[in-house]
Parts: sequence; structure tokens; C-alpha cells
Amino acid sequence: MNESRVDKWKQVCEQRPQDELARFTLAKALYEAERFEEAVPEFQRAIDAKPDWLMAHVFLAKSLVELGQGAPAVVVLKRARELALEQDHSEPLAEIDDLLEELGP
Amino acid sequence: MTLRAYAAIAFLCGGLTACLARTRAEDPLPGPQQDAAVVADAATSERRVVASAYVPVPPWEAWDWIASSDRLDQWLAQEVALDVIVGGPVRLVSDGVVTEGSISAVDEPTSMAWSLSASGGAQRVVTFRVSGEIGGARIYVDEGPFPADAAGEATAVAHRRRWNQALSVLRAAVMRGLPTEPQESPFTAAP
Repeated sequence: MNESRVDKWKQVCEQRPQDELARFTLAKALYEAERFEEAVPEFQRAIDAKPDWLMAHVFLAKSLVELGQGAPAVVVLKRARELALEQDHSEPLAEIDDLLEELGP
Repeated sequence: MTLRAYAAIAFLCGGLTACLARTRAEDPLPGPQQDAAVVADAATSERRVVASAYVPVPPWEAWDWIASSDRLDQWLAQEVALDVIVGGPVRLVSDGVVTEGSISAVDEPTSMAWSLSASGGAQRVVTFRVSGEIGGARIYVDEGPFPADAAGEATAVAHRRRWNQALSVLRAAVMRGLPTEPQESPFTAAP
């Protein structure tokens, strides 16, 4: 299911390369398929298109954690934390704080 | 109260109990498996479509069917993309018709509201709610408002029919995901 979903959203992104929501959905499909190395650049592209995209930051950080890249994940999570506070989103904030605590200082 | 009155009450209660027992034996579900209706707001006469479907999965899994794009595009539209957070975008594409909007409320894993506008159409809010029921969950949908005129009524009726169809597809999709082989059999050896 996840693989066919990845293929579907890859096609959509090829047809509409400027479609940031499609890009985010492809990135999430890759994340859910545990294809974290491919998910990272897609989340990054979604963030490049929309720099205040909170959940793209959260999933980018989670993908980096899965790849064992703790230090860049902390940088992304700190930016995500700022965005969560600016946008008044309490639920992602709790998740971000948990992740930051797991990754240590 | 006379003996005859007591007998009448006992007869009626017995009949009711038997009727309920028979209904439950034939259909263990607590409510209709699926329904949809157009309702009118008492104050404004604007129409709303209310619909619900019973799904034989736990509420948290029912939530997935309304909050994950990979589940939604199995029953609601050919292409569904969304970011489930207040203010997050929602886009549905079906037969080339694009409906876009944003998520106006989220109370995971219980309820979510989308503010949508079809291309050239009026703004509407679709609210989903998940409620636990015996052996599964019920997904409630509320869409509106539709104007209190003949055109609004016709649109609401069409949407009622479409929600009915979509919820049928949802139930079928949920069923497809259920195990079709014995899982933990009562006839396997006890640990």
C-alpha cells in the first residue's frame, strides 16, 4: 500500500512540481514507507516552498532521527518549536519537546 | 392497579423484551450501519447534510480513515492531500474537480472540521466525528450550510446521495482491511 502511494504522489509531483501540498504528501508517504533518505529532501523542498510549514519541519526532524542524524534533527526541531509557539500549536509542541528531550542537549 | 392492568404491563414488557432480543440477535450493531439525511436549521432554514456509517474497527483506526490521505483517497476522492493541523491545507480532486480549503478544527482522535470551497462554489464546512460503539466505531459527517432555496435544497440532496455512496465505499474499504484468515483461534493451545 505504502509503495503504491509513493508512486502515485511521485507522479502527481512530476505533473505539478510547484505543488507544495503534493510534495508534502509524497514526503509523508516516503516517511510512512520508512524510506527516510528519500523523505528528507522532499520535506526539505516543502519547507523551501513554505518556510513556516510546521509539520514539514517535524517530519523532517523525525526522518533525520530515523537516519541517526541527531545533530541536524535538533536544529530542525528548534526551528519547529519556534514555529509551534508562533502559530500557537500546543500538540506538536509537546511532541517536539519530547523529541528534543530524547535527543539530549 | 388491578390484576388485569399488571398482566397487560407484563405482557407488553415481555413482548418488548422479546422484540429487542430478536433485533439484537439478527443485527448486533447498535444503530443503522449507514444513513444520511438533509436537515433544515430551525432558525435560518439553511440545509445541512448529516450522515453516519458504522465501521467494525476501533475508534483510533476509524480516525485514520478520516485523517490520513492514503485512507481518504480510498473512499472520499481520487486525490486527497491534507496536513492535519488547525490552519493546515486540504485539497480533494475527483474527476478533475478540485475542492480546496483548510482545517478549521482538530480534536484528535475524535473530531475534525474542514472549511472548503469547490471551484466557483460557496464555502461549506464538513465536520467529521468519531464515536466508539460496540465492536467498532461510528463516523459522523455534517456538511453545510446549503442555502434555504430550491437550488440549495437540490445541492443538499445531491450531497446526501454522494455521502451515502462515499460512506458505502468507506465501509467496503474498511472491510477489505479486516483479516480474512483465522487469527487468534479459540482452538489453539493455551499458553
